[in-house]
Amino acid sequence: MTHSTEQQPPKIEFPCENYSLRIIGDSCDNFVDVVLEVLKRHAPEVDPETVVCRDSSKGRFVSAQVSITAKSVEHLEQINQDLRETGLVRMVL
Amino acid sequence: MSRPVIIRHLGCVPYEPTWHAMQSFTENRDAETVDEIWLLEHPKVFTQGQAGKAEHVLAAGDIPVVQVDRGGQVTYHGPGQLVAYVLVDVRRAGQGVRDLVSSIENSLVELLYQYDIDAYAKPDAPGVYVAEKKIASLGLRIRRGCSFHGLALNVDMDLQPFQRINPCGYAGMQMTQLRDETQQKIELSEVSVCLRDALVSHLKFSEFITLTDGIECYE
Repeated sequence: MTHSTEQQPPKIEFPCENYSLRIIGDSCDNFVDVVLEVLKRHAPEVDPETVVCRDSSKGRFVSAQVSITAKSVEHLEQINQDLRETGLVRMVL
Repeated sequence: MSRPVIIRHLGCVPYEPTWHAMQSFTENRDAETVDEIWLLEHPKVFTQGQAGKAEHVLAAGDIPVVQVDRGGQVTYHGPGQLVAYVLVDVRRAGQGVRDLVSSIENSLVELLYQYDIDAYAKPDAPGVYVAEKKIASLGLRIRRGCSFHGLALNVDMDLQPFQRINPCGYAGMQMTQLRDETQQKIELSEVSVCLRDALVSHLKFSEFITLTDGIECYE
């Protein structure tokens, strides 16, 4: 049974420009290169100049923030999966 | 789409009035009520969940035991432990309870990464762990589609009272804390800000509003 008064959950409208991804993983010299290589396969518009990186307090982990144009939920899931398959990425937000 | 959350930093507040305040908030909220996250510490107290077995409280001693309405077994709260109560309309957010639990666990894991700690959640036991020791506990209750209770992160505290109980019902469960893992003095206020930011982003809030007035307490 549906309730007409029930609020709809917040939805992202696709395509969504400037969709911000935060990618957290193990710090290493080529972390950003590996991440960008994956992102470019799925989102060729990604601009390497706009990647903002933050190291953890002693540099063991790194967090990279980057904007892409998100096309769909499946698109985001595929990016997430491929990033994780690099073995360097622990969390994608 | 805008999805704000109200953040309240409550300082060190006694357990029972705070618990009754979040029960009352959850009981009285409606479809438009903005979600809230309360960040606080409690004076020393053991809280026993609904499934809690009395035999897991081994020797409470001078620390009071409060029987509460969350899931899970007995736990301990005390100064130097950062507590976050997560008052979210889960149904309105279109999330499941499992999503909420995972988001809270991921917030903690990300926060701990910032302190160089390799923490993880377990699929079979709620909470966040570092090398098999528990650093943060989770306990939620859902009422009318809304969550209350939340998480407790051990920051810089006396862990001895955990030895007077079987935390979460596990005999011999080892507890750890942020200070022991980083080997540094840690400011709870700094951790509190990091936890706020992590929860806001993992729970997918669009913005937060910090309110400095206290909560209504019901003794």
